[in-house]
Amino acid sequence: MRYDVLVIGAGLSGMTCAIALAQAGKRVAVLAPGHGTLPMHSGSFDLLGYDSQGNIVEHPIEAISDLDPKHPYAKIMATHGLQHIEQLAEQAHRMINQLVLAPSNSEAFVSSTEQRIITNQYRLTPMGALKPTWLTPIHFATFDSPSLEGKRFVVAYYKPFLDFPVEFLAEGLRKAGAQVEIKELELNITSVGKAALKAPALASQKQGEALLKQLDGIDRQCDLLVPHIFDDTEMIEMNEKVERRLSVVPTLPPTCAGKELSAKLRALFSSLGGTLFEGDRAMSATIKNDRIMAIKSSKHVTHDLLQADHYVIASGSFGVRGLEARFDRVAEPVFDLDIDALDDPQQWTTSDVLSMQPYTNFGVRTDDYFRPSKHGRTIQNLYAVGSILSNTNSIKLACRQGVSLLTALQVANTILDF
Amino acid sequence: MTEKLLSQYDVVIVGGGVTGAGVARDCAMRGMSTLLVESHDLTYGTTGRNHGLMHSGARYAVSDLENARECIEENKILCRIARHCVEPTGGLFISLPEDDLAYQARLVESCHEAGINAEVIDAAEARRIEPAVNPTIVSAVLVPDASIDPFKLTMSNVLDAQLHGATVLTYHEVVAIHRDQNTVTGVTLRDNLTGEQKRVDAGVVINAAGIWSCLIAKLADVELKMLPARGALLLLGQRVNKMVINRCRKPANADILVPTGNVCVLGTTSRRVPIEEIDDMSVTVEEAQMLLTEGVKLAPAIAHTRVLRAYAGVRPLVADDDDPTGRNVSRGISCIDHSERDGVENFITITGGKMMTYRLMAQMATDLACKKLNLRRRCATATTSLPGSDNATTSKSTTWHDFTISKPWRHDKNNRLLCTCEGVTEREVETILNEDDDVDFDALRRRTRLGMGPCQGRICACRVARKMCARQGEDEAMKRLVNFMNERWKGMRPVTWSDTLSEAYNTALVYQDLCGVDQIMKTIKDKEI
Repeated sequence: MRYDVLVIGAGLSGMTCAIALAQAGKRVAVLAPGHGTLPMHSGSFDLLGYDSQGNIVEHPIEAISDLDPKHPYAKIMATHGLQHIEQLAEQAHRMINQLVLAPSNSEAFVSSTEQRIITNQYRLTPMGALKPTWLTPIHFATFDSPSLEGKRFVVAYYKPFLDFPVEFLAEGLRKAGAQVEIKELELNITSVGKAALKAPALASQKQGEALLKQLDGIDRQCDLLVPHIFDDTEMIEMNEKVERRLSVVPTLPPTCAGKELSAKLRALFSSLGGTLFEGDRAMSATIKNDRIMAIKSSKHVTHDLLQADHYVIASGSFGVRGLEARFDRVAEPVFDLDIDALDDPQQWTTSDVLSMQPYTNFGVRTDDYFRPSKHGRTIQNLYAVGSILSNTNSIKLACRQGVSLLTALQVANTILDF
Repeated sequence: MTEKLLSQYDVVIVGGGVTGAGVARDCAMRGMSTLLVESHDLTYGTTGRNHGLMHSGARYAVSDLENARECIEENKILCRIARHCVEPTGGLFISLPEDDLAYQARLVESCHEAGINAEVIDAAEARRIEPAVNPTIVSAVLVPDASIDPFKLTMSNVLDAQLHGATVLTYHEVVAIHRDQNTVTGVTLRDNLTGEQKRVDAGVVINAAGIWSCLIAKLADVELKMLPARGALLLLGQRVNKMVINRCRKPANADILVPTGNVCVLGTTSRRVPIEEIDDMSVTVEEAQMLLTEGVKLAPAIAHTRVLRAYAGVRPLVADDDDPTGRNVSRGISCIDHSERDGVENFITITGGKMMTYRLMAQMATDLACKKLNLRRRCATATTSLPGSDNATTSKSTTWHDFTISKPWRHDKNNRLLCTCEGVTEREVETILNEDDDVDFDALRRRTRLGMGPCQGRICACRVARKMCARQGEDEAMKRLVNFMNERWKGMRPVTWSDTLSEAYNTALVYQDLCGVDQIMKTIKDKEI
């Protein structure tokens, strides 16, 4: 079987690229060994939250000009200009709209004429920080300002569920100036064994109604915050029933938002006629004259190799083994692509675990069109997208989903222009 | 651990490692009023930073027969009195093609002379009983080595000391030793958490501070020259081997692999360090890589096993020669009566030795203390089981000791797992935290193994931090969480290959990208300034 495009990796970047290509009529296959880092997805999509000094960014597109020229955004800007980044962001926004409940920040896209400035909002993290972000589904707690002075919240939690740190969440809200009350919920959860409860498992037990009943008498001046232990369908039902502001806050992983987003990305791709190889991991490639000829994967060996005109590697960073640290070097395990990394392992890390760790900036070296190279020679029909790229600094810049979405769409456009 | 402190004790023991714990137990069992003080937490020093190997003595048989005899004697005693801490794995001394078989012959002969069972088996038999062993082995010697849990062993001794009336103070440092002329009369303690100082009179002061003994001795104006030898070890994320595997050669780097719990430990290096560096427990990338390169020769599967972390401990050796590698120094016990050596009465230092011989060391120090206090009571520690050793630990109390020494508490149903990797329950953690404000993550780890498994605390750290909020406040709990993450990170940094960065990256995604802990810490720090 020969495909137009073969995508390696089924996280946000791989699926975004595959969907954009399938939407344009390409025959696309995705090797999907897992779900990337989607199980850790907060629900929000960060575009650019901080500058390189760690200051909060209000208008992400404007701030892109100040990024390191090796950053993937800077590469798109170098070849296509800043306006093109806005267009990619709009394209990404349209796709996200198809996937999640109407994102709350839609007024940031007042469309048509003058005001197209994207402005960051602030998402409430499970531990009570307020982090700048771009798009967030409507039912999540987001704010226009990091100051919550004058606001009142009631935060509900379910005691046996250990992964919703309500103490820190409430403290974060208090630090931002809000008044906070904590309310313990009684839910009717059946658990199996001694393992800790996980958010998606709680969601499957449909506790929305029980929760609403217990929140009935609470002062209407207060905003209600509840752990995200519901799926989207139930969330919509709950919001219809309750005539007040009820928002969810993400839990620790695995998150409901991540599970739901991953499922919807796969469903959308399949509905477009795409082929998904679940549980299949790319192993190695045949390369001739600087072109990928075929891919061998854990389920496609010897006689049944995967072939395509174009290949996209979206296998992620260290966390999901798109990159591997070996004794003496960092490697990309499928093609052994050229890597941007420091030579000396002593310099990969620094002693303060919360400061920027140099290794997080390591990744596949590409040209400005996101084409990787091997032994210094650019591979003509391979593109890299998402967290596998070098110099994203995505944890500190809060640009992880943005990098995945924009590079994936950019590469899809490049392939379509071919 | 903060207990009611009296103004006077028969004996004050300095150092909460296994030796100090053993001395406290022995003294308390012999009816002395006993105070054990530790400047950090129990097992903070070398006790918490070694192989967990219960030597048969075979390793020392060739070089030091006396030492080997002590080992096998104590080995047999521990198998009786500390059954809950010992896993009788058995051990192999393997000879590879490059190893001298003459050494094997000497080893067997010396073992027999020391009273250690040692039987030569052929390669096929060795591979049969230990499938993980390097298949190129020529032959092996089977010895009664075993795996021992140093944390549990220490805690059980401390518990028994307390059951016999001893007072135990952690985070209390001896800052002065008082003398009346040439007689030690007591100590001044500083509470390291509050800074408060207290004076305690003592009939005898026993210095069991391990590598820090020389600093304690100095407080009594006694010169004690230690030869600190730092050993680096690697903690591997799976139990590769069933039995202890040693290299059958003159002791060298990375020639011991000890299975323990769900993991195994590979060690060690030996490097003399200046006394100023004894608090530096860091391991270099080179040391870690060297350990792994050599360790693969014991069990090839190590090459594909995740390295969880690297750590180092400092052997408390007393200077008696000037061997530069620190390896040929006698590991014999030094029980020093400072009245004989330095003319300082009622001051004893017990050091040297090994974890294996802690009980014997305790006995020697306690015998000497009894002599000084004119007490005639016999040591009973060799014949009295430690709490938890006999299965009958059914006490209804809910102290952390119950969890530390008794598995049944853990397996109470309705008791949700907080640390899945090591099977630590919510109730266990709550009990420990409620009992003692001083318990931070690291102390919890030493008591429960929390965060010591494959995820190195990624999943459970936040859950534990939540439990600390009620008593410590959110900011303090957050700081402790970050300290813990930094502490784990310290052990991960020398072993950046294989899964370490993968785990670290995911931890960063959870705590920084998703939760914004870095932002929260910035706010806390800004507020403090």
